[in-house]
Amino acid sequence: MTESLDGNLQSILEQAKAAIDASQKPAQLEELRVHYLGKKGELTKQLKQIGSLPHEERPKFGDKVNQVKQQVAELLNLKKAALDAAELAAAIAAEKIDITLPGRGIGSGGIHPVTRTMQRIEDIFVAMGFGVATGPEIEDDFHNFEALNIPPEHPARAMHDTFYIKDAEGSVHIKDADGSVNELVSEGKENYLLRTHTSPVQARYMLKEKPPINIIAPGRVYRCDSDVTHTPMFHQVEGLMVDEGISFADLKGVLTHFLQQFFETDLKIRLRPSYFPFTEPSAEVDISCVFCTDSEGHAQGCRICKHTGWIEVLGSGMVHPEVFKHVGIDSEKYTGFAFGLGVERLTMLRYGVDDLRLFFDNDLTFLEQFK
Amino acid sequence: MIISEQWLRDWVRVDLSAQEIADCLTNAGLEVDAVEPLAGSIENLVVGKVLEVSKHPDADRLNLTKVDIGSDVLSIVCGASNVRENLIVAVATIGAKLPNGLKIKKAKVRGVESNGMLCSASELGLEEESAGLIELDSDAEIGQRVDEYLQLDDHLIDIDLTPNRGDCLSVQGIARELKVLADGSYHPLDIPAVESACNESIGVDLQDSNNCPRYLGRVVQGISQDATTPLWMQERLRRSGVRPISPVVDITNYVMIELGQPMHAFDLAKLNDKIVIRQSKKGEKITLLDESEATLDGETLVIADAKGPIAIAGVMGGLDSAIDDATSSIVLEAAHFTRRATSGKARRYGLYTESSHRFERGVDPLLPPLAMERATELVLEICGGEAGPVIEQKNDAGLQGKPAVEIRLERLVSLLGMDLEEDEVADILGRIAGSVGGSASAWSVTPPSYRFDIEREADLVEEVARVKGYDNIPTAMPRIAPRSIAASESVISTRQVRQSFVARDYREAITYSFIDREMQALFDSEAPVELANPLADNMAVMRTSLMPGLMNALQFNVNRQHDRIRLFEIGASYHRSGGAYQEVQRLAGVACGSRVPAQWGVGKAQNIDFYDLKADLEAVLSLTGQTKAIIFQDVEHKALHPGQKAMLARENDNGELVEIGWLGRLHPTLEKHYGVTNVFAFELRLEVAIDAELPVFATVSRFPSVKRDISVVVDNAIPVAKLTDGVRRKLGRVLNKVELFDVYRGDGVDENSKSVSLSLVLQHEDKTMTDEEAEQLMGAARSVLESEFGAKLRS
Repeated sequence: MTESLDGNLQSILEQAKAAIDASQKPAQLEELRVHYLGKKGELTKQLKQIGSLPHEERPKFGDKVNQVKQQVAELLNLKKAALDAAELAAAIAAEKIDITLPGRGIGSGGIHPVTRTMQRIEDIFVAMGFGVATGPEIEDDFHNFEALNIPPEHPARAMHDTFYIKDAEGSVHIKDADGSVNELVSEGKENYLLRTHTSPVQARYMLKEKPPINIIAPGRVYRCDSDVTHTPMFHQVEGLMVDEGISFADLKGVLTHFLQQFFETDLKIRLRPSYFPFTEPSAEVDISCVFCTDSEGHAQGCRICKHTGWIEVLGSGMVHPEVFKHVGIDSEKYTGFAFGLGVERLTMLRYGVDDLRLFFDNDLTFLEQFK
Repeated sequence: MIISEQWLRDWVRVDLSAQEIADCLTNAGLEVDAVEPLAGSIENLVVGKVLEVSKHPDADRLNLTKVDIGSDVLSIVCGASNVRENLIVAVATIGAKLPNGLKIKKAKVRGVESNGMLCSASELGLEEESAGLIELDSDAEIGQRVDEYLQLDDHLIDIDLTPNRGDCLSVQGIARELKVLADGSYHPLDIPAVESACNESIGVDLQDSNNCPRYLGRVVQGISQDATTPLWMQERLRRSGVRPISPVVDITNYVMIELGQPMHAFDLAKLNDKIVIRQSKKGEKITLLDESEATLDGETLVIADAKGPIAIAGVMGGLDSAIDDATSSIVLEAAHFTRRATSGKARRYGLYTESSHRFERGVDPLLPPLAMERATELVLEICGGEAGPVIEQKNDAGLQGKPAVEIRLERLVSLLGMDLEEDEVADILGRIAGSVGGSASAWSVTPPSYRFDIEREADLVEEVARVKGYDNIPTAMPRIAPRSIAASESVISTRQVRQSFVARDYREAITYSFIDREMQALFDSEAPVELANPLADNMAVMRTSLMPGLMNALQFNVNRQHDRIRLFEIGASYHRSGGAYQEVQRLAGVACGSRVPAQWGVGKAQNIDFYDLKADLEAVLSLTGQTKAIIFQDVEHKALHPGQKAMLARENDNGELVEIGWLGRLHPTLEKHYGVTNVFAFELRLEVAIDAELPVFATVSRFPSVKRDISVVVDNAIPVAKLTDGVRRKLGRVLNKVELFDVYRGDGVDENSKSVSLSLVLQHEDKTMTDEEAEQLMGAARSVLESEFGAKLRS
């Protein structure tokens, strides 16, 4: 009797093994689990036959059934794990994407290269301790010219190509004798114009604040001139430093520091005497050519520096005593320097832009090159 | 100014090459733009004399010549029309290499042997183009090297002079400068007085001796009408960039370039009575040498005769008194017109002359007598005739030199930040001014009569620095008192604003501040500030809005096949208020095209609409942390679509609405005008837009919230913002958040209505919200929507 029951158990186990091996889906496994291990399953049925055995054999047979049950359960679990893994692998394979397709959404725009340069200039000077000042673009004659030692008959006015403003009655008041607008001067009326440089901010600031002064003044300026190398509107950054004992050597130091930081290279600077009515001594500042100077500091000569190895970048000088007089600062006690740099020019040099007029066309193809 | 190196070397001897001279000048502030070599030395180029001329047997335009070159007589075929017997010519013999690269070889020209070439000025590198052979003067020796005779081994030095250095606008001036800078030996011209040979003279009535402190006139009678300007003078004029015209004119120009004194010559026969120097009368007319007619104002210094003006002083002479081919007696003028008298006068009459250029910058008041003698000498030499006495009228007070200027060594050292030796400074000052008094504590320097730019100590500081060399000044770093200020939190920075637009895919534009008047009017009815002298009609008025410029930029890009454009700009608009001007910083933008760039997987790209820009603006404005909501009001704007526009405003602390700006779609007529569609734009007042609030902490509730939705149907005309405001008002602080999640029109909703779905988040700060409370609150919300807005609950 025991033998036949044992034989049954053995054949159930083998059947179960074969069925589990052959199953392909978790659902089939679940059916098999019920078939063999469920309340009415094959092995439970076997256990129910235990009553037909003699008492002494019952525990042994019970153990045997439980062992088979455990074996079947283990086989089911193993097979379940294998099927799950295969299913996951298939799902993953099905979800594989082409990672080279472009990303979606909006991109990012960019700031204008002139703004980029202005911000950079500001950052360098602010890090040195300079403040940032501003002034009006529609200026009066006094701040744009007279306070800067450019009286009406001064030939320097001819270099400035000034835009004048019509007053409310539609007439214009020009004090400078060589103004290109041919209208009569009417005394006592203020003469308004578009500032030709950011230097009037110097005058305005010094009229308001006392030394020590160290500021820069960025902004739009205007000259009545338009050709390949001139646009009627452009940007300047004015710099001014006034304190006791400020010297020409200090001017050299501050500008060297700025230009080396700006171009991120140990370039050399060269100062040449020049003339601006509001500074004396005055200097044009050249940098060693950033395009053709090798690592040893030798200029190879190129088109941009006209084979001189030097590029003119800004104008500067010691504040003229007459300017100090106009703004009520004692020029015996205080000295100072001022400089003015062209933002478009520095932008062109920094990024290699070869046509000034591109800056104000706002062509996206151009703007997209600057982030 | 262009100056010939060889001419300069006549005046000053320095041991420097042309390039070194140029560098020396540049480093001293006389910026040399270019140094152009002339032909240089040319071998086998000699002076020859044409002995015979005969026609080429086989070519009408060619001649056969026999040319004597001293050592030989050469047969040369020549095609120039001015070849003739006895002509002194430049002969390039076999082996010569001309500046244009041409090598002279023995050749047959149409079958006739030619042993060289007769040269034109252009072939010698002297002119761009020449009509015929260069005709050498009779003083050229046959067989002499032409490069020596014509000084072809020369350089043209182009100097860009600053307006303070009018004293350098002559060979004499540059030579003087080089003497100072390079310590060269200076050889000024010896100019003897020319004794008068006749009594012929002209009366000079110097009425305005303030503006003309010195006037010299001299008659030279009986000049030859056949005289020609000698080649050496023509050459020097040409190398100075001046075109030779006629002997007397050439002489006055020559003296101007040589000494720096502009001169003029009148035809004596065309003058009526004496010469008067006076102010013009308003409305007087004069026809000038360039054949233009000028109507004078009442404040121009003129030279006049009894009939009227014969020259604008220091600018240009009149045509009626000009010398011509038939002139036999001339009046030479050498005068000192002050800078003030001449400044701007040329420009006022649309003129610019070498003379006005010099007088405006200041001409040495001591020069006129010297220039008069020099010019007389040259006229007699070249044109013949007899000189009369010099008639001079002057105002000595007006001719006085500048007062002495003091300079202190101590000041010099502190201003330059450089140690200087007393002896060296004294030497430099001496080279500049000749005589220096006093000592290092205060030297007294009398500026030379030609140096108008030395008026004060600072000017002398520059002189010393310049001669010493800016390169020799050390580099120092000053102690900088901090003036940089960390940005206030009460505004957001324009950098933040820029970056947030950049992050939303906008590109920054910079457009001109002046725009077309008509464009301006399309966007704004405000009368703009006008320019008196615009460069062009489309740059005639100052913008009152950034929009026209941005629209131009948008159109520019649309025309270049860009279809998705998003631009912004930060800049001023310009306004007149009363007698003053006002600048308002603005932030503006334009956008058109699809919401996102063309890309895969998003289906058909949708065009942007009002709400996209609204979201952009809200995102940027939310940086300010302002707690008061932006109110979008429906207000008229001429440039915007009447149905798709809004004014942005916000309440201030006093409960008043403050306008921030506007947003909307471009008006259909403007879209048509620009040939674009679906363009959206905004413009904000920057100052108001960036006004920020500090964040204020509020307790974070730890109790769970309850979220409930409500959908109502309301009349189409009721703005959604009113519904949310109403609910918010009613429920108060317990309403944590109200979100709009759907607006629907269409099936199931009455034609004039819309369905609005709101999501309300309810939460207590200090206890859990119960379902019963939530129900009660939703009931309150429903009743306010029903009673105030006639809303019906949507099933």
